[in-house]
Amino acid sequence: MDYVVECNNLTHYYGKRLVYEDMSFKIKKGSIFGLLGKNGTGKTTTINILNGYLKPRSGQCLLFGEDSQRLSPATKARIGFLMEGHIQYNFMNLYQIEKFYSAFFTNWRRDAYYELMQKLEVSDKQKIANMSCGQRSQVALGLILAQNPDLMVLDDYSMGLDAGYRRLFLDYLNEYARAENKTIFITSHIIQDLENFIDDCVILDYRGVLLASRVKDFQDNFKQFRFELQRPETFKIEKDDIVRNYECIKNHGVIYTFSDQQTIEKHLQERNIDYDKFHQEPMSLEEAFIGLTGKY
Amino acid sequence: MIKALLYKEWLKMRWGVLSMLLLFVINIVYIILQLDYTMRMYEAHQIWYNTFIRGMLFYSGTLVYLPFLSGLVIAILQFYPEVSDNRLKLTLHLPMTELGITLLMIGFGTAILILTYWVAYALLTLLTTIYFPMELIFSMWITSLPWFLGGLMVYWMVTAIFIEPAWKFRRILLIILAYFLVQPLITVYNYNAFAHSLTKFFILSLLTFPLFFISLDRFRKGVY
Repeated sequence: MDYVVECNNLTHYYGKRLVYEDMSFKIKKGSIFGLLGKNGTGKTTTINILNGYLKPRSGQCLLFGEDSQRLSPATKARIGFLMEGHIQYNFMNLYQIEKFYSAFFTNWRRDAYYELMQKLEVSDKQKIANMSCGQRSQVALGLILAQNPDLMVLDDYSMGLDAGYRRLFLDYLNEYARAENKTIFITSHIIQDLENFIDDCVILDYRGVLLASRVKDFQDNFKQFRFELQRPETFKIEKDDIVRNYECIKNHGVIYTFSDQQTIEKHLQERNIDYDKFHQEPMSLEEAFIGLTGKY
Repeated sequence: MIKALLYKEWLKMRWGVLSMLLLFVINIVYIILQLDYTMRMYEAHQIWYNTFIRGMLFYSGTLVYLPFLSGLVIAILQFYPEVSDNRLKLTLHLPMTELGITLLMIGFGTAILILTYWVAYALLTLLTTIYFPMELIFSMWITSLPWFLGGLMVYWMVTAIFIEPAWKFRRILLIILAYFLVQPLITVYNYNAFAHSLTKFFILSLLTFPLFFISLDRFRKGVY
């Protein structure tokens, strides 16, 4: 199998605070990989390790077979990097920044950049510092598309963007990346946008990796069972391998699980929990994500 | 690639460089106008006596501080945009070696400062030769060279302070170190004050250059 990214047994701490332990994942060439998690769960930490800006406590990341701590210029040229908040050189204007970056990349596609910039309807002399967050995101996207990299590392592309700009961003990624078999590593805390976009995912929470799976498998196998409780005070269960998460609001109980209906009903009966109207409800990716990670 | 990287550096600092050059020119022209006025008002031997016997420098005053100020301004203009929002990550991601990128950045800043100082020296020398013989010009170079070396030292130290990722200890340590290294140069500016220690001072100022790379290595490792 041709892997573009291989992270093996990554462990990182900030001081004494564990970010994650023994996190491993691989990204196949041409796939779109999502690193999902709430704020502060270690998404940007992983991006920093991937790009060599942070040395993990232990473990190693390989990009195109090279250690991320010692990437060669040739490998860096194959990686497009979008910083969180669409940070770019804001002291440059639209013309200057294209002129600057084009000197570094042999496959530079000037047309791809200016196609997006025309949509902004701003002058080439417009400084990036004076643009809105949405416009800056388009500049950052235009530069990555013009670079034409084999791997795109996109750190929270959705930050500060309204629904229109988020959709535009993903549409362009789809058009350019999918069509040309590019690999994408994307992080976001707006999960709903990534449904039908990412192929594989790792879900992080504050204690480490909750799940590493194909998105389709996750959506097929992770279930939500809802029921009415006749005596809500009896609904006393623990999270375990069967019950991955649960909720109880008034007399409505919800259980999130990878197990089937029969197993869950048996689980409730063993604990003498009286329930009624037990049924499975379908979930979107975002609902499944919240179901797994919890609302808090 | 090198040209593009230098283009980026120039975009950041160009107004600062031009402003500092203008300040140097204004200051030097002012010094010469004052000298010219003194020459007209007093007799030449009086000026000679004050300059050589009493060691009163007609070129001190603001000129002592301008090299330091220009080192500070260039360092801030060049590196503040890099460290704000961690933009340095974008720079280090460019397809060149990190050492090559950073050497070019700091080398360009140093070269721009030296060029600015050279223009100031050339103008001061040119205008001073109208009034004084080469003996005084030479002593003027010796006297003012530490100020300009100090300006370079300020530039290198401020870049190290900017890149240093840990606020609490290292930055404070670097600021204290910079103060003690630079402070004597601002407060002591007598005639040929550093003439006998110029080589040592030159070596000392060069020792501050690698501090940038120590800070950079810590930035790369994500020290917090």
